[in-house]
Amino acid sequence: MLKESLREAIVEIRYEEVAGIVGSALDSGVPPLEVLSELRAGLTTVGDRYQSGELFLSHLFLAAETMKEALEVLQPLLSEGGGEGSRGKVVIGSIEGDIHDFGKVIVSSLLSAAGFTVIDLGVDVPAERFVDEAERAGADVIGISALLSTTQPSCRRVVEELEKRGIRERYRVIMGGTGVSPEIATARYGADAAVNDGVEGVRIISGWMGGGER
Amino acid sequence: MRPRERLLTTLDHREPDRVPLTARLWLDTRLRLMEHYGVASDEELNAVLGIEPDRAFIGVRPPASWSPSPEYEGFCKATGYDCREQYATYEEWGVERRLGSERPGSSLRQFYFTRYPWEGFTEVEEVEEVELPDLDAPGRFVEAEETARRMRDERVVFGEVGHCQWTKAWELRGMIRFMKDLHTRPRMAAAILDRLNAHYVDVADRLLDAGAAGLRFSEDWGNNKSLFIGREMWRRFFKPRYKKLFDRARRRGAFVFFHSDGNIAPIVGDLVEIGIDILNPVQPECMDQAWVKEEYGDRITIDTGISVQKTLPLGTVEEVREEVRRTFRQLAPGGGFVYGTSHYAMYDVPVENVVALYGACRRYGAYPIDIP
Repeated sequence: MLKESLREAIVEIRYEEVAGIVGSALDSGVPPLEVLSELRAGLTTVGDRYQSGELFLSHLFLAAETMKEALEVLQPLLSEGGGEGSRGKVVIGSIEGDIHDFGKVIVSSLLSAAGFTVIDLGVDVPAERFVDEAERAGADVIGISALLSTTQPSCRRVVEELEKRGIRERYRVIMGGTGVSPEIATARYGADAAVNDGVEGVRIISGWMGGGER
Repeated sequence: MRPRERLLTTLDHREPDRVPLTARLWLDTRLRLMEHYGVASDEELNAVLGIEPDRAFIGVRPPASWSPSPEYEGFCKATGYDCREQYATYEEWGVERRLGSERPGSSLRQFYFTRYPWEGFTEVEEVEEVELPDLDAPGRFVEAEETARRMRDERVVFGEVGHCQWTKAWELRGMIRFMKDLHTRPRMAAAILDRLNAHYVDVADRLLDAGAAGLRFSEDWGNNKSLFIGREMWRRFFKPRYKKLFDRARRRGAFVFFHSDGNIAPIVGDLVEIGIDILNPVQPECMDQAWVKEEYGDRITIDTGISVQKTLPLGTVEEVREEVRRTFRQLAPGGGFVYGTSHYAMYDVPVENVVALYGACRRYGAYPIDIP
């Protein structure tokens, strides 16, 4: 029953109550890792329902935000137990010339909810800055958002900048945007992956970082 | 047929002499086309392409006492938009914006938001008490009245209500914050939408008084894949408020023109039910245009165009022509159809594809439609 309420808290976006629900589960002896696993199961359900067209973008986003609220309570306990640190660092931003923010914000939120550390650089970010910030943060993944056909080619510049500095192999690069054609984008712009669906993007990054989807 | 008569005929779901054409061409695309055709003005370019001046838009303008600073004029010029229209849409509401970086190949720059003036509101009362732009200020509708008077016999005059509920709400509140309101603070969301609804009902009435024969509402509801919010939430928060706005036009026999990017298939039926007459842009990479025609084509005009995400920038000349042929075959018969570009033809679009697009429109657009 308690476990169900954890899943439900995410699926039904109990944003205001989720911290209390997590607290009750912990108080009654559910181990933190098990709480996390139930919450994630809820988020996976929302992701699946989003991809099947049953749920919409705002629901996906708010479910991730609810998950983040829950993690505020849970993360200190998880770190204490040594059970679950960050799953990896992702530097993310909209490429130079692209002023679209929303898709990127949703993906950032989904990544945080999935346990990644996210460094969001905002919009209109020059290629050099992606690389500078990735280096500074010791990131594992660079996520480049580009909505328009006119800005997608600029993503190539991030890859070129990595190559120029001789550090291409240190990073996985993923490109995303609702207008992105994955095959064209990976072939033309040199990213390791390209997606037009945020849930799919998080799935790919989870796969790269090991442990698959959790 | 004269352009206005052609448009009115198709809006009346009868076949005019040929399909009315439109275009949204990014400045640099226009300039390259002008060079290609050896013409010097937008009017001449439109004439060569076969786009006739069949519509005009009027809207809210700043008070007569307002004058832009040189910096603000520079900002607007860089975006390519009219600064009086922009001020009344954004800055007058307290929204702040910044220019995006320069792009190779583009003379214009895009903008993004840096301040959402209602973002910090925590109480419903703050929304109820915040001051909105004063529509009674002298000079607001002088240009609208003058343009409507001058154009009414030559063109179909639309009053630009523009962003008015969803899009205006997130421009003021921030999209993230407003989505949270919808899901977790419904009273706050409703207060914001009510405040905007009352304001834009007033705007709608004044534009109709100024002489508009239709009202255009611009709200972007979808991405390529789906709606931003679920249909039930849309029905609860937005449908009744849109109906109230659309009714202002309908009770005076004026057209309701609704623009939304993206895949809005789940709400097209609702929009038709509450009275839209024209749906734009029905982007081909987002929605099944043939389905819209099949289901609703007897009640609404589909004001659409070629794919600007795929075919126009990336396709071949023959693929452009084939998309025109296919679309005209499916959508043009019976009227209720306007064609051009389904959004901006950006600066990456090859000139030959635009030339092919309008060439095919002129060649295949004559009624009765007979395309092998």
